[in-house]
Amino acid sequence: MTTLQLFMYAGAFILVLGVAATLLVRDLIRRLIALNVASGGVMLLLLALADRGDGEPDPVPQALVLTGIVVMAAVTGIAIVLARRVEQLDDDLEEVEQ
Amino acid sequence: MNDDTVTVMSALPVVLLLTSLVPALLIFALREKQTVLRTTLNLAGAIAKVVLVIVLIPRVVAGEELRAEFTWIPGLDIVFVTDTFSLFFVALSAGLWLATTIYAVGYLEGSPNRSRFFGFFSLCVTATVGIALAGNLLTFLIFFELLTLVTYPLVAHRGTRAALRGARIYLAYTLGGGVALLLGVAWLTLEVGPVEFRAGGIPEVAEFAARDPLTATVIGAVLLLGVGVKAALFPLHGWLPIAMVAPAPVSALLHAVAVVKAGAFGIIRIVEDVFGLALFAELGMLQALAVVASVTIVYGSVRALAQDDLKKRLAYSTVSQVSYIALGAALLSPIATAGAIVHMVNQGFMKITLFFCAGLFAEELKLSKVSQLAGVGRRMPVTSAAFTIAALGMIGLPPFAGFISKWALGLGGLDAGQPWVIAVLLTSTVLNAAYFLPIIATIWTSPRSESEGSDEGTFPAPARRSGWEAPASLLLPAVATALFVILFGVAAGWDYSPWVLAQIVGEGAWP
Amino acid sequence: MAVMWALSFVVPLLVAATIAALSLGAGEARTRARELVVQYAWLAVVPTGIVASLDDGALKTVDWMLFGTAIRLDEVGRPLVLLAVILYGIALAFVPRSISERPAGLNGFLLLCFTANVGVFVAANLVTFYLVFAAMSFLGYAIVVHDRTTSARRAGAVYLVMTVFGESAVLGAFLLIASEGVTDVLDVPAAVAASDARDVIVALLIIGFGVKAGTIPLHVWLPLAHPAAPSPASAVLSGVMLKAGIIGLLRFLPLGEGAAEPLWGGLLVTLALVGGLLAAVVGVLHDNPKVILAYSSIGQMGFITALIGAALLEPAIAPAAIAAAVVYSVAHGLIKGALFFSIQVWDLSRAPTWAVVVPQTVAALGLAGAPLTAGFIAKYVSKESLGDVALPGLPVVALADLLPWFAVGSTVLLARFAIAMSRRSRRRTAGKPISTTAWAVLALAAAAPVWWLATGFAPPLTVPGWFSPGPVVDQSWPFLLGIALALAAAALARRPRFRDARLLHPRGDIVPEGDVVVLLERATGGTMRGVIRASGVLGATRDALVERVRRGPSPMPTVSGVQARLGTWVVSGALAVAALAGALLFVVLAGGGG
Repeated sequence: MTTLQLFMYAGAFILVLGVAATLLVRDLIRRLIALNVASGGVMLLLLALADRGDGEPDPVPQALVLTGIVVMAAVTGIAIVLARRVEQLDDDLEEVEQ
Repeated sequence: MNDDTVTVMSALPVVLLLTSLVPALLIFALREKQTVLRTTLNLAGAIAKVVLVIVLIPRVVAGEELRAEFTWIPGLDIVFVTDTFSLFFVALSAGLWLATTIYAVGYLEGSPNRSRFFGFFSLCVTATVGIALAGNLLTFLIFFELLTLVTYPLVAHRGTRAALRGARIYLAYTLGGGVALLLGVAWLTLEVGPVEFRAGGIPEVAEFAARDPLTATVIGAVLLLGVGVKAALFPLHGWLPIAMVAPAPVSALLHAVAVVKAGAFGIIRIVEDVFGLALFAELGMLQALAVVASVTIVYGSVRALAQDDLKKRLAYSTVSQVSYIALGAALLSPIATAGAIVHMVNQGFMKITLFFCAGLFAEELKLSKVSQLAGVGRRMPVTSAAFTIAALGMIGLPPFAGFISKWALGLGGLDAGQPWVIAVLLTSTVLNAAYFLPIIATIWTSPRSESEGSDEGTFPAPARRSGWEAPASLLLPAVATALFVILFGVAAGWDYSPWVLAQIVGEGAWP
Repeated sequence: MAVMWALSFVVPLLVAATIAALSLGAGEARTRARELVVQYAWLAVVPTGIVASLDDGALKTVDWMLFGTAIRLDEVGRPLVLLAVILYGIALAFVPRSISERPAGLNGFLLLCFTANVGVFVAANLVTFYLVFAAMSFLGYAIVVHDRTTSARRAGAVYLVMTVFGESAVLGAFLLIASEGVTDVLDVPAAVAASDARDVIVALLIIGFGVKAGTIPLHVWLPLAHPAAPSPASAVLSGVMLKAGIIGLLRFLPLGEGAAEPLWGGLLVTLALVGGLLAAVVGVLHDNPKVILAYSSIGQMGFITALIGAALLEPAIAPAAIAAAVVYSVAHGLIKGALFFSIQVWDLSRAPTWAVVVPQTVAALGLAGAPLTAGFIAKYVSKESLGDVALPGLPVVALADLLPWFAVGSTVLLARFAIAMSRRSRRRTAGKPISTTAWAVLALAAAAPVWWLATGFAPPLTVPGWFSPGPVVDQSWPFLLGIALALAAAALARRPRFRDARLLHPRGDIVPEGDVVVLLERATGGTMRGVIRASGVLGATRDALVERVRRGPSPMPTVSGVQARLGTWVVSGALAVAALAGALLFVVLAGGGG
């Protein structure tokens, strides 16, 4: 197995792990972490693809990974705020029901 | 898109999109109390769109085609094209959006979160127009997914537990379909490169299918699966009855214009403008589609028989009727193709009238079940008349619009050498009659005391000074669409009637 | 001409629309205006009468309507249109004083039915015919169910179910015919005769138009609809609307084209004969004069269907048979209409009893075929048109010899009708002398137009002389035999031994109205319940499957378990670092390429 294939399979594996966890886990923060793991897997995949040719590595997937890192940071920030808000609302709902 | 169309680069397709996008963005920024401004924005956008469409129709029928394109990624373009079929769907959307906007303004009067509602409402129409104008699969995909996302808040608008659950299930179905569509589009683009819709089928796809028929078949099946969820083909139709928790204007829009028709539009685009009818038939997919459509037609009608809730009955009726379109698209005959295309308009107008009337019964008299409708004809004669007209049209009686599509489909089936289509059509007619005629009979002839849960002998009198049976903003759209149901049937031979336009569109698919 | 036709269709529609518009609001002025319109609504049929008399028989098209509408008034259609004008006109004049409530609604729907009915007789292409046929059938529901009593609603429901099946059959047949490339009605019989799907088309046509024409076993709606509908509506139903079924059979069956159809012809004739027998036997067991007249209509329609069946058996007689069918239809329409109107006249008119009974008797005699009446001419003409046609299985018995037995049955039924009417009380509450006079003229003078029509058809038809002994004797014996049977039954019923016998004093309770309809209702009810239950089962199965999928084996417990154990396993950290180191080493040593 070449390095390229190793990276690709690893990336795919981590991606599937992350996505599965995002869909199946109940807790919101854990889901967020799983999403980050999935994005890590995607980035690994993209970086592997960047190296697919013979000569210089393709800069476009690398640029996409950089963009992805920034996007994931922003998304994680918003998601944390939303998760806190949802939990707050759930607490309020419980209070009302009691 | 045959050789004698003149293609003109123009910004008009984008302007068509903007007429609903701009009001949407502005409405989101409005406060709840600014009703006048919001209604003005809504109506201005709707009317502007209708006017644009009316201006464009003669030009497009004469053979001119407008085009706008942007490059998204090098090698992948976003393309908007106004060919006859696109404009057909845009015209349907624009007309029905205007009617539904007027209806929604009246229906939601006094309820909370109207800015949110109308914002997403306008975005929904933007997405539909985007789907209609899409010139290649990528653009189609983008706006198809956009439609899913912007209709979710509309279904969940009421915010109750049932509404949220219904919206969640709706989202699950449509996102699943979206994934399938993404898979199909990506795979196809991988195999043949970025190609645009072309009436009669894309040559590169035909070559690819000649090289590798198995993959082409799988891609075709996946694409159909993707659009089939929105088009409510059996067994992917489950979301439709559940999405009835939405308020009546949303049900009307979803089931007559936006989501369901977008799915049907997608089916026709894929069958005719990507693969081409002949190729699809060779791959065996056409017969499969015909069988699935026929099963859906009968299944939807059978399920509709058992429903007492009026909107659920109409939902299953939609499931059945939209498959007429799929069936027409699956027959190798120009008449059948034209019949499928004209049924988009006919069924749209008939269904929207039925939903408007259902909303009227619910708003005015709090009636939501068929068994409660006894004797409503005395109290709300105009609404009941509109309901009767639309229902008779759905059964397929002349001179209403539904007859035109049914006759065309029947002739098309015989023309394509598939006489079993007539058996399906006749069965469906009888079943349609079985679940619509009892409603009509109950409305007009049953005495009030036979209705379930009625304590008093009569209905409460109208609560408005004008003495009209229902608010004008609710009644007038219903009457208008009912009149169009009559008009599209009676004047089917007029030069710009939906039937004539559908025949022009259908001819394009048979180069 | 085209303008006149447009007027003749538009005027009744406009009057109906005016009635509808005036019904929407409230207010004195509106109600009075509406009453005025309803009073003079019968004038709306006049344009049609004029244009039907003067038209030249050319094709008139409206290309933008539906798939292209076309009408043509030919010699089969003209008499029927004029029949419609007469009957609907009198019906519209009778409505305002009839027993039913809401005369405005009834008049409005009668006007709409009139337009559709006339359309059926003049339609010149398939789509136009289907349009007006379907419209007429569904509008018929509105007039059947007009009084909104329970029995009216039941009659309406049965009518609707039968109509839906009939319409679907007709649609299927029309689609098959259209796919042969034919649109004009005149080309259809030849196309059907030459088609591969001929048997299917003919079967569908017989089913579809048989419902309308009251052919056994599709007749079940008739005896329910007639008593339920108001008298003017019943008159129109029996007099003109049933003829729409007849004209459907006349126009679309391959009569006179190609080879004979022993199967379908034989079937039609058999059904007609059985129907005639059944009608007579069951009809006399009833008490309600409208039901008796309904069964009489079934028998008479059977007579006409027998003519059509004979034309299928022997194409050579087709022109004569068609002409005879038209003459008989007109005669039956005029007389049956007069009889139904007479019920209302008996109930409501202030005219003296003899003034009502005499026209009634003349009309009844006409139906039975007594000499000097319309029925006499019609029956003779029909008998002669048949020639020597015989049933396929029984070559010995000529059809023409079986037909007079219909007259026996009719006479017995009419005798029963007379008894039922005599027991009916006269309320004498309202009645306009003018409309009563119009009715009397219709009843007394029905023979004249029929004779004129028959002679108009002269080449294929042999018309009897008024007093020639041969035809008089031929027509008299069935009539006299019927009278004899009726008198015998009456004498028997008077005997003290049979005073309580239910059979001799029937009150309509031995056989229910609509006879077989009870079985059909049960069957339909059962089917509907079955389908609804199946639908529920489908839904429940689907929900169960979805539940099973959702609650299915979830990987979550296992995954959480594994996660928990890995997470607390002390060695796991060290293992992770070791694995990472191993991977890095591998990458470095493998040269990083490829």
